[in-house]
Formats: sequence, structure tokens, C-alpha cells
Amino acid sequence: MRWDFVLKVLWKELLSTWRDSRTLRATILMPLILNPLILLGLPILFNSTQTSEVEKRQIVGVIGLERMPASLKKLLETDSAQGKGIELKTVTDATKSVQDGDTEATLVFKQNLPTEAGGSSVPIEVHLKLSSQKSRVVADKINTAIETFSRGLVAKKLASVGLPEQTLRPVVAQTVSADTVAEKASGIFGFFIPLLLLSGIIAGGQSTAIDSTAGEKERGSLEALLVTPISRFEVVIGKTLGVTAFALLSAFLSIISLLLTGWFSKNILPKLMKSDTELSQLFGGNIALDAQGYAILLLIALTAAVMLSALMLNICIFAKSFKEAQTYLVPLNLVVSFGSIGLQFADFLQRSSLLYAIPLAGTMISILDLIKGKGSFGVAMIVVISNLVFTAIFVALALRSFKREQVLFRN
Amino acid sequence: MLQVQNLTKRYGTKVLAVDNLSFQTKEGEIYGLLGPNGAGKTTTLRIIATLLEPSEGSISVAGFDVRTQAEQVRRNIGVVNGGMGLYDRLTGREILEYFASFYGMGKLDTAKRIKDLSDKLEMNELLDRRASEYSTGMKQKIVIGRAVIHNPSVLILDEATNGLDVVARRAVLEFARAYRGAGKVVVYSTHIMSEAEELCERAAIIDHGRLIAEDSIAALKTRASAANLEDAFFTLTKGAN
Repeated sequence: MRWDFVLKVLWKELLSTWRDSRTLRATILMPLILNPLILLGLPILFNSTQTSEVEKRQIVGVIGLERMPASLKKLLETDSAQGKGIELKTVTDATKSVQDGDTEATLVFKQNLPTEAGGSSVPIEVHLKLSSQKSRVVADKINTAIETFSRGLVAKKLASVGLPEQTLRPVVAQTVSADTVAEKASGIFGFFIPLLLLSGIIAGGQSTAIDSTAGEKERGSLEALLVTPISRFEVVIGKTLGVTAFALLSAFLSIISLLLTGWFSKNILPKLMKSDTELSQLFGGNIALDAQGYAILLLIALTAAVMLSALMLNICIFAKSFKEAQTYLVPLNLVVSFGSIGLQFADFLQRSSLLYAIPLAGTMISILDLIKGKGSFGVAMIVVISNLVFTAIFVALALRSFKREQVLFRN
Repeated sequence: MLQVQNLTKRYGTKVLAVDNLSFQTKEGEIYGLLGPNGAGKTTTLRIIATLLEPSEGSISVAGFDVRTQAEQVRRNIGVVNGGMGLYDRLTGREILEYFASFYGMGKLDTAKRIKDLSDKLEMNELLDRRASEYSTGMKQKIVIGRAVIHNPSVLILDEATNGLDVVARRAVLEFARAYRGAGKVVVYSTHIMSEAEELCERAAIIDHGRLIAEDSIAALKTRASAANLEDAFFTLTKGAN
């Protein structure tokens, strides 16, 4: 292999993509903006909308208001430390008033409520939209008021026979978090991080992958290159390196942005907004990796970038136009997206060397493990070796495609 | 210079793109490869350029065999076809330098060759602009410059005037005329008979992958008792089919 030829191809691919400023902005710089936006912006948005909903006085419909005890009415309407109370409004159709948006929920009292505990339980129907996140806030307010009212009746009854309120709850379970610092920091939505990283790699490399294969076929410049003394192998290696360079740049920027996001959410965000650290942890915006962790993350990201570059080159060479190649790459993006959604259930997976050796899946699980503090150098090596083996396979397949007449001259 | 012997190209078992084709060119001539679209011209030229593998037969370019000495063949040919394009985000000069680097040309030699070509093709002013800013004619000049940057002994022009306006077309024909000479041959493939009649000394007429006739342009017209090459082409291909 003549490295000067390979480097010439690499130089041309780098120069060509570098000068495509719109693509560069969209594919390379987007992860830099998107990562903090998702990892910090979502928790902030989630927090502010939930807070405003809690601080709002929702309108709740009532059927059978005359059967509601005054003490329960007071509990429902009175503001508390947890938020504002609700406003009660008499309605005639419980479900319809919720569906029409006249009320957030409707309470239906079909029987008079008891004034003391000891008799049979009396149901109160609560009509609300279970699918709506917004309804959960009003549901919490209603449930808290009914629970307080009910507990009050029990306490009164127990007191009448000289028993304390704790009589009915002799044992109480107390949940204590056994999460490590890393697990807490990775949050339940930590699966976003592998998605952001791999999507960044694909976004960074795909423009060069398409332009250097399908784009060249469409323009007719590939044929001109192949009639020069350069070998097909040198062309494939040069192009793979070109795609990898931008995929790596994107991966590197993604890791930098994760680092900055983590630092910001740990050091700045708590000062700006109360309790936001917890919220950003919920989304994995406060990952707690040490220098070794970041080094392993970088190594996994680098080898994943090389493998994905070779894979994208393989896919795109089959397309005869830029647009067709973009279509061919959609499934790859979907695999990464759905794969990362599947990571929510990663706790149920039985970890094994074979699992980590599966391309993409192994990479995503190992990144998730790493940010949860469960990663190890041995596991990282399995992923790295697997990525490199598959890179070699994809390069060999790309070389085969570059030699096939049906692929090169599909027109 | 260029020798094609019993060339056959099959795609699978059903498609016979080139059928036992033989011809050879002489030094200093413009040799026409004539035929309708789909006759097998481009397939033949792609095999000569080592882009496709022949099914049977042999081809030698400047004494090198296309099967066993592909790289030496590629060092001795330049190819221009109507569908060839450029890298839009590179300048004409960068494109020419890029291709020159694969022929082992040094920086000085490359600069001198680019200067020489840009004088001949009249592209000095635009050479440092990006290819995306070029007109179709200017693009074709760079395509030609790219094909001959290494001064190949065999220049293949395959439907090279497709889509060009009359001025750009004239420039291509004049360049082909000027390029032939000692130690060089131009293979001019076209379905436009008037162009071939104007440019070529000898020509092969092929149809359905087979050689129908090969001779000087004058002899082809005489053989078909035709006033021009287009009529001769119709008479000869009709007779053969």
C-alpha cells in the first residue's frame, strides 16, 4: 500500500467536507449544541413546567357536592407547602367535562362520605386523563387530600379507644438508595448519552461517506479516479480515513460537550435554580466520570467511529446518488435510536463477553455501564477489539464492492 | 499503440455486451469508435481503461496487457467521458494537482504541466476558482486537463461533447486534433457521425457489440456508396443486421 496515495485521498476528502460549511455546521457542530440542550434543557423545561403546574389552581368538577364533608372540601381547596389547592366546580357529566377541557378532573360522590371510620369503605370516583402528564399533578393533589381526610377519620377513631395512630402501621419500610455516585449521576435517562454519542458519530461521518462514494458516482468523478494508478484498496483506505476523521471529530466534540455539560450541571446549575441538580441527574446530565473513565469512553468512541465509518462507506457505495445514499443510511440511524431506547431495559440483560462483542449493542451497553460506574477496562477491551474486527470486515467488504462492476457502474 | 483482439464481454449468461471485437490503432491518428447508444462502445472503452474485466480476448495499451499490467496501462491512458464530473468544492488547480499526484509527478512538473494545459485550453483565469462556479464548457476543459495531466499515449474521448454548447464542443474537437501526434493516439467514441467524419482518419463501426466495419472514413463511405458517414453508417449496419 502506498501511503502517499492514501493520504492524498484523505486530504481531498477532508478538504472537500471542510469547505462544505453548511454540512459541517449541521453534522459536526450540532452535537456540541444538542447535547447540552437535551441533557440540561430537558430537565430545566421539565422542572419549570411541573413547578408551574403545581403552583396553578386547577379547576376540578364535582358531582354530589352536597355529599362531600366540609373538612375534605377545605383540604382540597386550601393551599399547602406542596402547592396551591384546587377550585371546585359543579358539573353534570364527569367524563365529558374532562374531555371537553372544562375541568382537569372530576370527583363523583355517589354516597354520603362517612364522618367516622369503622364502617365500610365508600368510593369516590376520580375522572381524569390517565395518559396526560398534566393530569398527574391534579391527581396527586386530590389523592393527598383524600388520604389526609381518611387518615384523620382513622386517627379520630383510634383515639376514641385510646390507641395511637401508628396502631394500624406497626411496621414501616424505609427505602435507602444503594446507588453509587456514578449511578445516581447517570440518572434513569442516562441511556440518552450512548444515543447522543453514536448519533454524533454517524452525523459527523455520513456527509463525507455519502459524498465520497455515491456523490462521486453521481458526479462521475469516481470513474476518473479509478483510471489513475491508485489501487482500489488505497482508495477504500483513504476514504475510510476521511469519513473516520469527521466521525471522530464529532465524537470528540460530543465527549467535550458531555464533559462541559456535567461540569455545568454540577457547579453552575444548582446556583442558578433550586433542585436542578437532581433533575439534571434524572436525565444523566451530571455524569461523574474520572479521568480514566473519560479515557475509556474516548477509546470506545474512537473505535466505534472507525467501525461506523467503514460501515457507512459500505452502505453508501451501493447507492447511485446522494439522495439514495441518505435513504440507505436511515436504517442505521434507526438501529442506533431504537437500540438506545432499548437500553432502558439494560438492567435486565445478562452481561457476557458475547453481548459486549455485538457491534453497536456492545458499544452502547458498555458506554451506559461506564457512566453508571460499572465499566471495566476488560469490558472496554472486548468492545474495542470487536469494533476493530468489524472495521476490518467492513473495509474488506467495501474493497469487494469497489471491485464489483455491478456496484460501481449500476447506472 | 492500442490493440484489441477478440474482445468479448458478458454480463451473466444473457447479456452479451461486446462480441468478439477486434481493432487496432496507429500512432498519430484519431480513431473513431462509432455506434448507436448501447452498441458496446462504453463497455469496450471501460475494459481498455481497466475499469471492467474482459470475459474473453486480450487488449494491449502501449505494449501493456490490461489483465496483467493494469497499473502500467492506467499510466498510459487518459479518459474523458460525457458523464465525468469534478469535485465541486475544489478549484480546477487543486483537481489537476490531485490527479497529477497519482502519476508520481513532482510539484514543479505538475505546475509546469498545468500552466501548459491552461494555456492550451484557455482556462487560466478560472483555474483558482471552485469547480462549482464553472460553466459546463469550463468543467469539460478541466475534465480534459485531468485526463491528460500525465501526458498519456492513449487518450480516450467517450461521448465527450455530450451536453456541450457549440463553443465548448469546438474546443474539445480542436484539443483532440492537437493532441494526436508522435507516440500518441486518440480514440474518439461517438454516436454523432458528423463529428467522427470531421475528426477521425479511421473508424470502427460497432453494433450490438459486434464489429460491422473498420476502415478509413473515405473507404467506409465508398464501401456503402454513401455521400456522408451517417448514410454509410446506416447502410453498413442495416446490411449487417
